Amino acid sequence: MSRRNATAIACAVSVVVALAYLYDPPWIGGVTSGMGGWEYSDPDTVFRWTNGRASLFIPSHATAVIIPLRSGFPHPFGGAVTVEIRVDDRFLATIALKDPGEWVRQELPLGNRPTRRRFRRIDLHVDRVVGQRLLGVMTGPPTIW
Amino acid sequence: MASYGVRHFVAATAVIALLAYIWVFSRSADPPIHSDGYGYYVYLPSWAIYHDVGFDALAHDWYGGSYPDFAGLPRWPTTGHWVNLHPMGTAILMAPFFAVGDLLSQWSNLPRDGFSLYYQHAAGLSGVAYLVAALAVLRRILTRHFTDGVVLATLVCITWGTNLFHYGVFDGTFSHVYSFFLVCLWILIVEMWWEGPTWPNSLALGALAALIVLVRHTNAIFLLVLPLHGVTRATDWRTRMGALWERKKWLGAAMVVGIAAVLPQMLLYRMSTSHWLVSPYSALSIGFSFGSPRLVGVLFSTQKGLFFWSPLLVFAVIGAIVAKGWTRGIVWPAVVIFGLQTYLAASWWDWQFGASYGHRAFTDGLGLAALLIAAFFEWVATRVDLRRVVSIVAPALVVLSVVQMVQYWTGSMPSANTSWEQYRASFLRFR
Repeated sequence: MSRRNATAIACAVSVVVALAYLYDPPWIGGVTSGMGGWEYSDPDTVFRWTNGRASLFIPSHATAVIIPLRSGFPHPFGGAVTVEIRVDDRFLATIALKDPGEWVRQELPLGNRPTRRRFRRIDLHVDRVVGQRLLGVMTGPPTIW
Repeated sequence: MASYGVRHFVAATAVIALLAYIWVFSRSADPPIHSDGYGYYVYLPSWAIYHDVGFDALAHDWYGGSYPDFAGLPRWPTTGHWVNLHPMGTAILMAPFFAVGDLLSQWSNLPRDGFSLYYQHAAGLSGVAYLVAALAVLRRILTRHFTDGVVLATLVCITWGTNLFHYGVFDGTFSHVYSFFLVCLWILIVEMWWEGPTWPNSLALGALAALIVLVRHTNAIFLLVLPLHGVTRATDWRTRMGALWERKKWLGAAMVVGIAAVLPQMLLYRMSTSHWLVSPYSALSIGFSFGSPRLVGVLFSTQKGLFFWSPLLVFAVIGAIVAKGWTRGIVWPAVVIFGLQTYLAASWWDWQFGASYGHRAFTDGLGLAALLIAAFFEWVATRVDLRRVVSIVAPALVVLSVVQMVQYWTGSMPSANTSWEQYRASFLRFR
């Protein structure tokens, strides 16, 4: 076998192994997108701001989830700030946050759609952002069953 | 030894760039797609994911309808449509990396939103890839005309003695490293075209010219390398024009390809502003002040002076004077383009070009500077005493540039408006 062929085979094998690993990497549970760092409003309340879109991952064995949500700022056009929630691209709920100061904790059944992955992706879509930091809504740590 | 270094320089730089990239973005609060990089990149998610050439869907999905100021997408005053301050060329060059990031995001179940983990690093690593590709092209040009020792010294100096490495690694989503790649390739293709025009190199000439303009419109000045290549005296100019006329068939083909390739950008301008040719910056009422260029500031100031932050480029100036043989034919294009580049940068409303390491307006043309630095090293190589001095000064300037780059990365050096006092206070110090 020539050196070039051996290199090509080694590259192909590396790509396959990398893809197999990246299908369900164990670290993805800690990945978030469109979210700031954790902040504390008082000793008992920990939260982080989302942007207009945000994603987080929860273990795939969960049957229901509560993601505490608070708008923090009113909607610029009045009315409630709405957050659309999807799980693995499937629509789950739209939550209306009417009072900017109130935490809303709504239990969301996840159904039992089968998955071969260790984690499910939760996407949040907020219908407005605020200021230069592009703040969406405040989210607390999720609770799962 | 030098030939071994030349042979492995690009691979070694790729490894160093990857390690630097990991170091930078494992500790940085900013993701790879930041600042101006956002505007250059946003075409890809807007077109490929949101299927919207007008940027409206992404604005609604991410920002409730209006882009934030940093995005560089104002509304055009008369039409109300979004107009991107940054042209589409960088996004075109990033597209293969974006495609990989998009496929991997779907494969790993990461959000297919254009800005999650894989998209960020696909865009960031495309800067590293184009830096490495550009250095490979530059090495090819240099090895055609210079000895291995000169080639290696030049590659090291241009990579780490200037802000080039920074724009490949830290700000890899900005346009500069892409322009540097295109300009290096342009020099190579122009040289091949003058050696003997063919259909492939004529078509490549047109496509490259279009990409250069699409990445940064003012970089159209680099197209002057074509008519000025090989001109060493004023009297050569007429001969060169005659030679271009003789090759009008090839040149015509290149122009057809070039015009066809810039049409999408013109169509986009037409759609957004009702004009085919427009400066998007006029939406913000900013632009050039050609009557009051800040020439000294751009070249020598502590704020962003080219020679203050990359003093090694003085070698290129000397190289322009002492160049011999083939390199003489590069001096005229380099001097004319450098003059125009300086005047344009100095006339821009923000002559510092915002937050940047060194003056980033000149990063695009470092391929031409590299040829003159090589001419300088070639000249020095025959002078024993001078060689001793340069062999001490050149590494010292490279080390200085690398230290200052790392200071910039770690926030020990201001990102703009650096005063002499600030520079002295932070000189060779890491807070």
